[in-house]
Amino acid sequence: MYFYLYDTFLVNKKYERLLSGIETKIASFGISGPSVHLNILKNTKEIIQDNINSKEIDTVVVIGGDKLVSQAASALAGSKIPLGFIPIFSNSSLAPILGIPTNDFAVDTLANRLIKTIDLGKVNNQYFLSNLQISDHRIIITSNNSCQIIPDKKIKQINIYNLACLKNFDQQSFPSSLICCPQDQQLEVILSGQSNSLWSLIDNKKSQFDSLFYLNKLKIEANKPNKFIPVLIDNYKTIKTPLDIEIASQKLKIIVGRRRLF
Amino acid sequence: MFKEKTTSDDGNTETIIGASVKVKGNFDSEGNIIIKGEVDGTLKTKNDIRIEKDALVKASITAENIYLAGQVQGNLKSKGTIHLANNARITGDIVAQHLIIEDGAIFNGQCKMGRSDEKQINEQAEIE
Repeated sequence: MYFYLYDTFLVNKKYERLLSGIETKIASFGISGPSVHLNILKNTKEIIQDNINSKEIDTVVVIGGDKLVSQAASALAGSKIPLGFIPIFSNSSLAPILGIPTNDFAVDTLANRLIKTIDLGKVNNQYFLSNLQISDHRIIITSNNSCQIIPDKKIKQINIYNLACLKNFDQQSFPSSLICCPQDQQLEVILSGQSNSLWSLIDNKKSQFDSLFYLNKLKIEANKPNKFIPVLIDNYKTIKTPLDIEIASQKLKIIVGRRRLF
Repeated sequence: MFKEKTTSDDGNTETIIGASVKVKGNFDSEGNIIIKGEVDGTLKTKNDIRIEKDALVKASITAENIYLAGQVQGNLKSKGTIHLANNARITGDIVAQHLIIEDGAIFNGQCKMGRSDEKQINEQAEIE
């Protein structure tokens, strides 16, 4: 049986017609099931765990955005129950990597039930699905307890990727082919600076690629004692250094499309 | 674009130590390494190392093949070929099967060549 989790923003009436179309298509495929509409008072992890424990749920499906997918992934880490995703509109950065189209087209992918097992990252005993982001160069990265990676002031951003679609790099400086593969037991650590291109003056988001490391275990701390640097997890949650980061031993089963990027 | 890792032609992953990064300590890798910044310590890989023009490496380096266009203070050990480009500067010893030195490269140190087996490399390691 499928269990559906609706994102908080879907209570808005403007999504009514879209959701109705999705639900009709779900019913036509015979994959209907119980559902919960989230609000700010409900804890995603608790709702998922309550429902998969008490009912015959064999798939959890998130309808909404990337933040809810990340929360659901944490709840399902190590579980045999796969995670499905119906992205609403085209804001999702995870959907293209997973090969999942948006809106009701995603129901076809869900019904095909192509399941892959992917890595999860772990930072200070919390899981992350996609990436960690640090917008400060004043850190020291200690890799596998054997060497230190020290960025200088030209580095504006450090990203640690497990599963990601790298859009915002200055294409001239970017390696011609790069994948942040979620099945390689490694994290891609990318250090980038401000792009020098004319376009970057207009579009402030472009970055200049500088360094790339493949690591499975690392520590990050500020370069001065008693200093704490903020770190963004999966583009929605902030924690502070020091961080212990590694590939989690628990994996995630996820329903993907044929046009996935890994 | 996203079907392959950053790879060389033989399909190995590539670590890139950029110009704005310094690496200190023992850096071990399975794939190729490209160095444009600073390294202080030791560098080891089962594949190739390429040291670019403005790189500064104070490390002993062990790799399958080594291409040097920057500055190294340390020993280079290769089972294959060590190639010193015209702006290479090395102060240290070289152990390799093959050695290419371009006009303009500066090499101060000892050189042992010819045997491709590991014995030569291990002997050098024991001396150190």
